[in-house]
Amino acid sequence: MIKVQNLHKHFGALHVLKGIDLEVAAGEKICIIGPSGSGKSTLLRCLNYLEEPDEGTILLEGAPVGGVETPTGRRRVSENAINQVRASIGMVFQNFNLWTHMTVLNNIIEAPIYVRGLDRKTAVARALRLLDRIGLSDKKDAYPSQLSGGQQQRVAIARALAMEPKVMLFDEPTSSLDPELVGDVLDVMRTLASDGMTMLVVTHEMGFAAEVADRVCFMDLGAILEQSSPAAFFHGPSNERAAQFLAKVIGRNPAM
Amino acid sequence: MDFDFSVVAFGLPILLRGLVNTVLFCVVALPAGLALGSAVALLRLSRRRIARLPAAAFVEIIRDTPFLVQAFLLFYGLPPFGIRLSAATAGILVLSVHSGAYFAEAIRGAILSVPKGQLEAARALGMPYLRGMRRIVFPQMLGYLLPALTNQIIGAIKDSAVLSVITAPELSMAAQMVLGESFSPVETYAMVSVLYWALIGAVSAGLMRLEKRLFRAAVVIPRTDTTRLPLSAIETTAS
Repeated sequence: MIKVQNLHKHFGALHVLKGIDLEVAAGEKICIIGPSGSGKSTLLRCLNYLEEPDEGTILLEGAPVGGVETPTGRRRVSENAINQVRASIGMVFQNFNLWTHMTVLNNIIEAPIYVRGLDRKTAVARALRLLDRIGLSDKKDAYPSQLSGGQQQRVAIARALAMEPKVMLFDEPTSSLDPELVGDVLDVMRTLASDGMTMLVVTHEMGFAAEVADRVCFMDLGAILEQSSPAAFFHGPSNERAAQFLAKVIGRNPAM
Repeated sequence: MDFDFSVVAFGLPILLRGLVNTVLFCVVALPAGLALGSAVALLRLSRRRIARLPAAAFVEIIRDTPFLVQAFLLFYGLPPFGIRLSAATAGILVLSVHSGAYFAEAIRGAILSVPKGQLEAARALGMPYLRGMRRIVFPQMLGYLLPALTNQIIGAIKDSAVLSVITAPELSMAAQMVLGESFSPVETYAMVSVLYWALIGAVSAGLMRLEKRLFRAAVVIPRTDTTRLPLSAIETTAS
């Protein structure tokens, strides 16, 4: 479904992604873990072109995302094509990024109406179904500032799902939440996973990765150093830096 | 010194006509300045240098030269090139351009004060840039923009007095006519200041009310920091 080839990204002199290759099958759940600054978020943000890669190709169901490599150099695809491909990739941010001037319902129906061209009635019906699914039907007329972080993040997931995306990207979805609110968000993500959604999740929630992921990718210094099943990864990664990272993380979470 | 009320009887009708023209100038020039300012602000925020540089140059050139000089240059500088504008047209034009440069900076500042993630979320859902700006960023920036904009609008209305130097028939020009007939500067300019005060006071009160309404509609509260939510919100969302 997604194919990433030789992806490079620089921020000034900093080489953040050093030739990433990654293939994701339909329905697959991939957790990307690694220390901060390893390029996890940048990789995710390249996948829907919020960051423009300097080199390399990303294909979503065969269609190039953002840019294509040609024999004469890198070529940006049209703005319209970028928007179309983004509409089919759901993204959930660490800071939720719900639109503060709109109610929960309006947050969810905005893009289906203005990007997909859905009529209002259909969009509202879809939004109400999603709100029911995340257990926040009673909050449809609330503003984001009236919700807890966990509720906001669940609404943000519903907003992405309202576009009926082919794949969902999660960029540290629980990292800015109070510990007691993390569980509700992870529950929604678990349900989504069991419904067969293709998911790429950048996370520090090792428990979630162990339970839900089909594959764990360990990233450090701009490269994927290890890809393996969660069972293999959590019981002794072959990569030395992955082992060190895991020892540190699990040392802090004895419950793991 | 005695206040000569006969000057009021003679001068007030002339001054009121001037005031009407001042209002007309502003009603045309300020929206034009806002449109120009919005466009320049967007260009200055473009990621393309070719768009950014001319917009920045425009702002710097206009802000760094006196309005009076700009008015003279436009009014007396164009006829040699075969462009002949009436004083009123030239006045409106120069007021639009001048206020546009200041509006551009206020708008740019307000756009930058909307958290980046707001537009990013719109773009990630496939929303085109301009639609994202219009639907997501502009409504949110109004709360930041209005206080700064109120200042610029008041400044621009007062700047319109300068247009008397190019004989644009506005309130200050009318004052000079009344003065020429009556030779009573105190009475004349007392009336003029009351009229400017009434006009600008009304505009500023209107903008203040708008600001309050917008502020109530879109209170921006840090979204992850529950300690700063109003008490009522904490009570209803405790989970």
